[in-house]
Amino acid sequence: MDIANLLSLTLFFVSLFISVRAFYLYIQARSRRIFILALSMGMIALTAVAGYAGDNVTSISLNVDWFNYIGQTVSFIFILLSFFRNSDEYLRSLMRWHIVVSLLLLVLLFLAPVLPPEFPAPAVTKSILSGSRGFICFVIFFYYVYVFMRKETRFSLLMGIAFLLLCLGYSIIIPKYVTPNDALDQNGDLIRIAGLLVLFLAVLLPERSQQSYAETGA
Amino acid sequence: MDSNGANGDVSRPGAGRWPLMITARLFQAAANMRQIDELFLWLANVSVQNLDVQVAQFWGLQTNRTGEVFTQLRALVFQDNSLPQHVVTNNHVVTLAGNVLNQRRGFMMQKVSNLFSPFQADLLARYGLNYCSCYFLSSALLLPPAYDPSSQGQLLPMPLALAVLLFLRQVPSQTTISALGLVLEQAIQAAGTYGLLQPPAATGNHSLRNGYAQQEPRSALPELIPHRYEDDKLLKSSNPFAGSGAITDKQARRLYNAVDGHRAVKEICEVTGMDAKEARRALKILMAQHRIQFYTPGGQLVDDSALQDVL
Repeated sequence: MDIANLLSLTLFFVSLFISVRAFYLYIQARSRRIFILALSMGMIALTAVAGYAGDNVTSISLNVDWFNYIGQTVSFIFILLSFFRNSDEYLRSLMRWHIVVSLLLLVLLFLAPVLPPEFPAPAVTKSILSGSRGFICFVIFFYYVYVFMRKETRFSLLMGIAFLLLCLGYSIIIPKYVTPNDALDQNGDLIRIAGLLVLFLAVLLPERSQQSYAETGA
Repeated sequence: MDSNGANGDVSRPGAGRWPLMITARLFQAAANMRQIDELFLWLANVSVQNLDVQVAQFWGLQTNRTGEVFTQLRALVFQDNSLPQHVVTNNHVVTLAGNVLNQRRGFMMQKVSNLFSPFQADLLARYGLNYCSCYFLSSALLLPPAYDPSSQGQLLPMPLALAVLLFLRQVPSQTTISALGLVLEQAIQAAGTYGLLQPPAATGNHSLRNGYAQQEPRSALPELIPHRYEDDKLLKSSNPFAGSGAITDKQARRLYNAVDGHRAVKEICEVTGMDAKEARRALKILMAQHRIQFYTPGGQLVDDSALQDVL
């Protein structure tokens, strides 16, 4: 199995796992922020499926890159936006917009067989679209750094590390849109796989009981 | 409501000591008072006579049996009695006081031109009221309604929210402003000590009978509007999948689903088909888990401690 497919599979399983757990928790807790997480990770899982299909299905032309880049960027953006405020009105409005935008993204996915195979000015367009994912992950990383500085918890530390790795992974591959470079591509994929595994670990591990890293010295 | 008074005249010692002396006289005076408005009047007189304040006003929030919340003037004292009352009790000033009470935040000395429309600012300036300062005071203790025989029994006590509006000709020293704030806070303590403010349990019959359709007239709970409260730490510093994020109680979860920030408690009961007892139990669970906050129909946040006894 090549690294690109491994990345697609890792992205799919980690995102799907988080999405399903989040939807289940949403049914139990009715937290709007959790719903936004669930929908975002579900959309990212779908981009993984689309990416895998785009790379491996050769019988028909599928230009899923539009959906992949925009879908992932939008999903990360909504996760970030859900952090800004806690008021119910804000989160309810955000939730509604997220549903609307997700439906539009699905339209983009269904149009994959008919979308033009090449991007206009591909070097620039792909760099911007792909790079936007890295940028949002970078912002989310900084946000978790801020959260960690206020209260040192394992969860915020792992989430920060995960999004830093994702940001690096997305950023490293940008030069390949100008000059194809398999080594960069593979390194970027490997870093993203590492980021996804850290993300998986972050949501899987139980909370420490009221202790921060400062107290435990860990 | 009496707008003139001679009580509270204290000599003005050197700066730094007068707050202590006023506080001592405050407690002496409060011990002999029977209503909170007497205390407000006393404080207003102290401000006017000793701090060169031209006008001192005490505005409070009041609620009635239908759940309406409105701003009410509880005390008004002028340094110069020839000043027309409408200059400082018109809609502009009422709106300002209402905003302070809604936002639960006062402000330091400001020019009236920064606070009011040009028309109102000119009107105030014409009478030498060039500056305005406001203190906001709050407490879980209940502010009794102003004494008014015509509305006796229609108004209900509610958690204290008080805006103390001062109009001045010139800016006093920062020490004076800060010291007055301390005196006002001491006054609230004195009011609680001498029973001029009611404890939260002293609002009469709190038990809710079956069916909010026949709501207990002395209880404001059916009229309160619960709002969902999202845990700030969720997905930031705490793992949502590892903690107790779920609402395990089915009735509490059903009630939480019906909370939309617009429905009052009684409407939620009608929607969910719960009776009063079930609703109270569910609300208590949600409150204990910090998932909801209560607001009055007027948009004022209700202190949780004020609801402990009701739920």
